[in-house]
Amino acid sequence: MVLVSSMANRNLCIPLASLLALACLPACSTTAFKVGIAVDPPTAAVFVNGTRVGQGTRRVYDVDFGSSERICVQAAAPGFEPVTELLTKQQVQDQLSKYGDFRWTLKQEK
Amino acid sequence: MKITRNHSLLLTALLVSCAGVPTRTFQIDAIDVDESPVPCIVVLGDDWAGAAENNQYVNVGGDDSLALKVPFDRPEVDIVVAAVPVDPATGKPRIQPKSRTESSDATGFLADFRRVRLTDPERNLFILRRR
Repeated sequence: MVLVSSMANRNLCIPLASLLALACLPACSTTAFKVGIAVDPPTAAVFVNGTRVGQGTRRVYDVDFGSSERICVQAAAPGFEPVTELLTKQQVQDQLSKYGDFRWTLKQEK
Repeated sequence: MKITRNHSLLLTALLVSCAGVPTRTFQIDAIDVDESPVPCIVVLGDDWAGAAENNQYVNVGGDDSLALKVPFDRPEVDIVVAAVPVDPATGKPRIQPKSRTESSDATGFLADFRRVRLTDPERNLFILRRR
């Protein structure tokens, strides 16, 4: 009896798990995002994962997490304190859905 | 057979030892806010002596990057990148700093620090600013 009940549970569990996995798939598989970044001063250099991608003037960048859990976004300008942000996919998604662009104002060096 | 708590611990320890410590190679580079390369020592955790011994330098012989193998014996590992003064005659570090303060005193640059994870991007750029 116990065996039959456990078999029945297992039979029910497998399709449920598959459905859950399928439902998760689009969210989990998205690794690329279009991310708006604006930095003040606009002459600041913007780096994504250590590579210079542009300057501070607002621009939309294609950012791909690939197999990484986080991306590193940095901004630097002469006479200003640099900024480094390590962002998870969740943080990027939250920012994009709630606030839109990433906007940073660099502090002037003392 | 009843599996006791000790058995479970032993099994876990055995599994961990079999799997070994995962490692990851990161490319490390260092620039200043003007985007010029800065000669630096790259320190894992607080092992300044080990960094000098293993020649963990970047931009010392010219504009380059360092391939740094990082063992992840815990989920996050600290990397400190601190400027070193270079002797122009020999092209080698004039001193081997043993702390962030020593590096700042010798170069005027503040060391940069990052807590990296196994799954972080391969290339890590450190941007140093003047004190």
